[in-house]
Amino acid sequence: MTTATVQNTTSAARRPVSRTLIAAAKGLGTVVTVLLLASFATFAMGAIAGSSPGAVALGSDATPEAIAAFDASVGFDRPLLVRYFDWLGSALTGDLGTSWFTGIPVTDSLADRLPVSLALAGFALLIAIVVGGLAGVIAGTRPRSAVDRGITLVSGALSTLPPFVAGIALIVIFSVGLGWMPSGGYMSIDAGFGTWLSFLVLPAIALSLDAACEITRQLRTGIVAAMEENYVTGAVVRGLTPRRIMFGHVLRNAAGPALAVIGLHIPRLIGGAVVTEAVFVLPGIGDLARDGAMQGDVPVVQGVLLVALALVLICNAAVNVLLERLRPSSSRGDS
Amino acid sequence: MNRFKLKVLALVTAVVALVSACGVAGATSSTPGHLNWGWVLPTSWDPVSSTAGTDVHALSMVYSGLTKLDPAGKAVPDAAESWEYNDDGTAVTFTLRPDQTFQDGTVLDAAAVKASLERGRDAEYSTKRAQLEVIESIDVLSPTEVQLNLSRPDYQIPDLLSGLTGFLVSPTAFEADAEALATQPVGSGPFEVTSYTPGSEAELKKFDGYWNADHIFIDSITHKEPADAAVIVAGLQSGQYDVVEIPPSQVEAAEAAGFDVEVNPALTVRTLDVNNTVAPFDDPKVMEAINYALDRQALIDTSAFGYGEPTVQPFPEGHIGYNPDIADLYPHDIKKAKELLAEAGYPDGIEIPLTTYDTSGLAEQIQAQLLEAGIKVDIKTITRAQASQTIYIKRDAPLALDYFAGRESPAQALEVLFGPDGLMNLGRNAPEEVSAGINAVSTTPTDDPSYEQVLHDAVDTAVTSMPNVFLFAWPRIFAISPGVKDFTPYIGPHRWEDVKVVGS
Repeated sequence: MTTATVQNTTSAARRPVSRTLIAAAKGLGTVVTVLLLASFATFAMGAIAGSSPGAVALGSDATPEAIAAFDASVGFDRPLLVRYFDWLGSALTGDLGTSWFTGIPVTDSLADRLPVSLALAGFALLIAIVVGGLAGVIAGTRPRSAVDRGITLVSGALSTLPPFVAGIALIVIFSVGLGWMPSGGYMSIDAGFGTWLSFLVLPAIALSLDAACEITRQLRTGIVAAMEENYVTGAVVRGLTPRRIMFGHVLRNAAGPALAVIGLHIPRLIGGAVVTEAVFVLPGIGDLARDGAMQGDVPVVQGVLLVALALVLICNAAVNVLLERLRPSSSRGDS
Repeated sequence: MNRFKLKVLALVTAVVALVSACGVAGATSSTPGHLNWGWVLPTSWDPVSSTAGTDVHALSMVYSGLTKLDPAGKAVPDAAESWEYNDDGTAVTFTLRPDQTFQDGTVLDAAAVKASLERGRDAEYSTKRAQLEVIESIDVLSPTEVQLNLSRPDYQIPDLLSGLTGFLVSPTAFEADAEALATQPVGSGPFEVTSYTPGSEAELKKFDGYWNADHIFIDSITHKEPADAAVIVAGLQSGQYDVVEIPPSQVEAAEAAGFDVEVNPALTVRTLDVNNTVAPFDDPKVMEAINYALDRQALIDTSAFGYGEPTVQPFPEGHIGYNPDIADLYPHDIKKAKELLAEAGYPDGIEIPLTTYDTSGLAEQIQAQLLEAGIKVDIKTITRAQASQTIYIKRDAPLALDYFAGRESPAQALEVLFGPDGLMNLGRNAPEEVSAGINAVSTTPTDDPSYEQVLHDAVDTAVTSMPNVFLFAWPRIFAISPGVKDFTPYIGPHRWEDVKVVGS
């Protein structure tokens, strides 16, 4: 651990460790700010909407007296700021409160649903990296060939499809037409790996399209540029095999932009999951967020927000570290 | 370099083969004594804090009330073996069956009944306060006798207490940790919950302490959320469900796959709530015109695949409150609708707002139907979260597309829909004869020979003098696997007495 004091900031700035630390601190500052603003906005929106948990929960038993009692029981009768800071204080100790409508602690709901969403987003990311990576390499190693043009055309077209359109198209083809896959629903992995996977394949494909196409395009561009570098020519002259040149040299340098794209797409994967989970009826975080938002269940929406931001933060940090590690020059300590 | 293409192809083929090979199968077929039940999981397992009427079907497995509803919706003994009213109907004494316990071993006696009902009436978080208001005080006369003193004569208490409102919860459990009941219920009903994963499934096993356990032939239940409409039938075929609620769109597919389909009348009915203090809805002729302009069967055919009953009244056919005399009150008649509008002073048509929180397209279909009679509808959409507040509390919507989930007590149902304080009576006023009719229902003993006629008269008066519009009753539809025997449909909360799972 380096503690960057005022005296040694200039010298510390040259040391990679403290650079990473400063970057991390900046990132953390941003996240905390975003989190505070977003969570307060959620609270405020609930207040502006003029809905009260009692009115929603009681339905056709919503007498004013019963509403007032219910609102008091969930602390909704206190001023907005008091409620907000109370929530914030509890959140810092890991208590995200309980849902207004089910009485189930928000942390329990998140723990139940997170695996579904992580499996979906992870699977989508895997598809995007494998398919997008392969297509990018194929296109990049044959610049301006028919194959390259074909891949570029297809990826350009597919990347414009929103996940819900792709999802419905996939359902029409693979569930209704061919009858290969379920069109929705979810069963946990206990029901058998194949069964579990069958519920995730279509939504993951639908969710991955955008990222896959972007990775393809970036990787292709990166490879085409890298292939023209002198070190590639040198490697060819030294008689290295094409495979070794590709994986040892070209890809390491060319993968940077594609990796950065993955970092950019992670929030989109999480956001897109809301829509995709709705199309495929998956009991994930997105589904929870939608129900919570529809009912105006503020504690649930806040909890989802917190988890989504945390995921984005962790993934971005991981991508940044990978980017640093991947560049061959990074091990030489200069940049 | 073609190896790349081959590899991609091989990979894709392998994934597809793997997935389609183990496709949608992988579940077991029905095992004797075990029931896989597909029904929406409850918002809470605590009846007092439940926020959805449909929760009653799940919770009736776990809890018993003093009474329960028979298949036709009539209150019959459950934890209480009998009850007796005093002479003026202001107090009712329930006699409990002896030696009952809750699933945690707590004794189910008169004191426990008192504690449980008082929590429902008084707890701040209770969603049942309004319904239990009528109970002024509760006296424990003996361990097996509990007397409810009422604020007014009301013979509907046995009906009222047969659902979520009256389910008995172990006082030991709610005194220790009321919040835990949301996921760990403790009742005295036929089954107890052994594990529960919200949003996914609950496991239940038979509770031998239930007084009527001799009539329970199911040893264990897996209660799970029904899958998406499109995969429900596949789930049935692979044995994921023995009994599952299916949407109307899946009836044909379920029947084709060899399952019994049970179309089960329920208390749910689609309505238009009206504020008769706002022009033009203050003119009964305008409301009549709307009633004649609606083609109810067409609404059902489009939005419910033909499964539903056109209706102009609150109770479904087969329920004691259904009045056959007014069944054909408003046939679809555009000409008559136009005449009525002209009589009301709108010969060139009229423009009205319609508020909806429903996104199924029903509002748009109503809009198209009314336009034929010269009624131009301006649709205002609000979110579901705002619906109660906007429609019931602030009464900002003079005409609102809504639905009524029904009540165990017919008098309370009429009160909510038509009573001068009824939440779905947006004008908050009712002619004297409507209140008198509802009052007559409450003050007539339900076993009195005249009760049915009194109820029919009250329905007739309310429907013909109040502006509420009824569109259609919609049923619960179950697909049932051949391995399930003696399945009984219930108009009210669903029950499993005498149902057997013999395997298939």
